[in-house]
Amino acid sequence: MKAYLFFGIFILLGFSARAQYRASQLPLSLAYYGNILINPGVKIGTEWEFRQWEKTPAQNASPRQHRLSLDPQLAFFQQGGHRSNFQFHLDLAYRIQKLDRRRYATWALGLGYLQQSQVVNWSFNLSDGSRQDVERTRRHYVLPSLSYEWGFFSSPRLNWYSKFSFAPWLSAEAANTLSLQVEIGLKWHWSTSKN
Amino acid sequence: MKRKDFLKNFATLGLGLSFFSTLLSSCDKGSLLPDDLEVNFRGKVLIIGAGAAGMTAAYLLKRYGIDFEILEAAPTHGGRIKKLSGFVDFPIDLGGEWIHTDPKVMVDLIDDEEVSVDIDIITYNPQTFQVLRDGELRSRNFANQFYSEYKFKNTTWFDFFDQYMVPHIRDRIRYERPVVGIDYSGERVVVEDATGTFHEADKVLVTVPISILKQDLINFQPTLPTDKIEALATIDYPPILKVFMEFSERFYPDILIRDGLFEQNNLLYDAAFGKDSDHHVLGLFCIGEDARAYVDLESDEAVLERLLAELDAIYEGRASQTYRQGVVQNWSKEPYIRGSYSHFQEGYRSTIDTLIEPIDGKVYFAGEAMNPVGQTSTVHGAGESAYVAIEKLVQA
Ligand SMILES: Cc1cc2nc3c(=O)[nH]c(=O)nc-3n(C[C@H](O)[C@H](O)[C@H](O)COP(=O)(O)OP(=O)(O)OC[C@H]3O[C@@H](n4cnc5c(N)ncnc54)[C@H](O)[C@@H]3O)c2cc1C
Repeated sequence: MKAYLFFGIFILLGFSARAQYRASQLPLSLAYYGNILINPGVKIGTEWEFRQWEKTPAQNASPRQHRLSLDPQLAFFQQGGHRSNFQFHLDLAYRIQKLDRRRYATWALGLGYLQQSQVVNWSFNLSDGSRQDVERTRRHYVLPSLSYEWGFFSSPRLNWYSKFSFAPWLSAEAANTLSLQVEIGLKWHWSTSKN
Repeated sequence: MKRKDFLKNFATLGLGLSFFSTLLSSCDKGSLLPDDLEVNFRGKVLIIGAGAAGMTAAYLLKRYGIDFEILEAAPTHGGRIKKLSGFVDFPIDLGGEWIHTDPKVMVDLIDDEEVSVDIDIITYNPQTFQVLRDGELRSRNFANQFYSEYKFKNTTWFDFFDQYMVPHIRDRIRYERPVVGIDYSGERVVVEDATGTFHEADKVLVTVPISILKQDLINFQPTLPTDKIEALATIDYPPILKVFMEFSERFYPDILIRDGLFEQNNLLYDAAFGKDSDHHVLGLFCIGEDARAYVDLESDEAVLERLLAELDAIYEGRASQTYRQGVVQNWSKEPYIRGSYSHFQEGYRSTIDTLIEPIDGKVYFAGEAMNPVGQTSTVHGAGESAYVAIEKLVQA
């Protein structure tokens, strides 16, 4: 219930803004984030826009806004109830949007650091099932990533998005692996862009 | 979703269902029997088979103060859970090894607040995966992102039953009593074992592997109802074997899969994973068509030789160079097991319902293939099936 209220206020606030569906210079994002959808987590992030330009590809075509930004993100997600992952990620993102549309698409190249803490050994009591962690192990990974994001402005200040990131997990001490990270969330554009 | 329902949905997936097992820890748990269970029955019960299902059933009957006896064909209890001690410095599970659900299912199976002991569990989340396809070895470590289940740390499935159930029922187990006939035509049930001894009881609970029923190794009088015979015919019960080899060095990944990544019918795995041990033990779990190449060989030595040659071909001779010892458990050649575990076709729920339907209120069924409330083909599933059968039996 609380969550609905929160989203409701977000959307209402969004509609009160100027009707212009563009990213602000410093949007804030909040997302459900997971390594495959069944492993739950959260991600917060922002975007620091450092270049933006507009182009009209052909006569009568609607102008397109192109935007380059650096997107720092912080994430936490669980895997199977016994692995906790903290992740810091920085994306170099290229976004494109037709100015008369609410949709946009972003491609990003990123680099992240992930720390995983895993319960490798635990015990439970046979009388009542109470559980105790006996041993944890920590792993560290560097995550280069390639992402695609698709978003939609539901109001000038708020956009919904989903993002898919493909990332090898590279580690000096643990086995290398890779994953497809999925992110579904919203971005709050609290100050609108220069244009 | 209730754990029960969730388990049902994945019941036929065998080992593959392990991908989802970790999800289950968040689902509801509770007693497997209703608190207000009415125990109306006061006669004698014969339990056929002392595997996970038979032992659990006996443990429950003991709790309800019902007279029972277990007739077991083999010289020991356990059935398809079997422990090998002394091979290295940790016990080896020659049969059921993985815990394919939330390990706390054991709390439900024991269901006794007095048993306050801690059970050590390993999170079985192998990190290195290799797949052998067309003679080529490929790394598939990404599987470690989603494959994870559990194993015992210092003990085994066998120890769980042996330590917490068997002490309550040991004096009621009759070993080396293979049952050859069950006559339920009269008021009481008469059971004949291979030594020619007849045993009488009011009810009988059959927990033998389905291979024994499919191959008519027990003569039922009257014969089993046609719908049961037809239901049994739809269940596959493929061959299986396990092999454990010790090497002086480790040259293999945590898991080497020799068929498709999601098949898991032919896998080699580091059996020392997560154990406090310096020994390098490689296990082979091979079921179905792939298993035929081994199970029909004339001796265990021939199996070990074949497997060593295969490993040498993959790892450039390192297997024979570092080989120390090996052990083979050929379940297909065990006279009272004769294979692996049930593999159901579509519509397995109605098949199970048909199989567990008691006959004339006298003959009841339980076992890994007969679990209507959870996973089939597993150790804990066999235990759960006993709860279902006993719930029916004591009320009648
Ligand atoms: C190699 C292998 C690996 C497995 N791995 C896993 C795993 O990792 N995790 C998991 O959960 N499950 C696993 N399983 C499945 C699991 O072991 C079984 O589902 C479970 O142990 C079956 O218990 P049960 O009581 O139904 O049958 P059983 O254990 O087979 O018990 C039946 C008993 O009946 C006896 N018997 C047979 N005929 C007669 C007769 N005529 N008269 C009297 N007694 C008789 C047998 O000797 C046996 O003791 C595995 C099975 C195998 C074979």
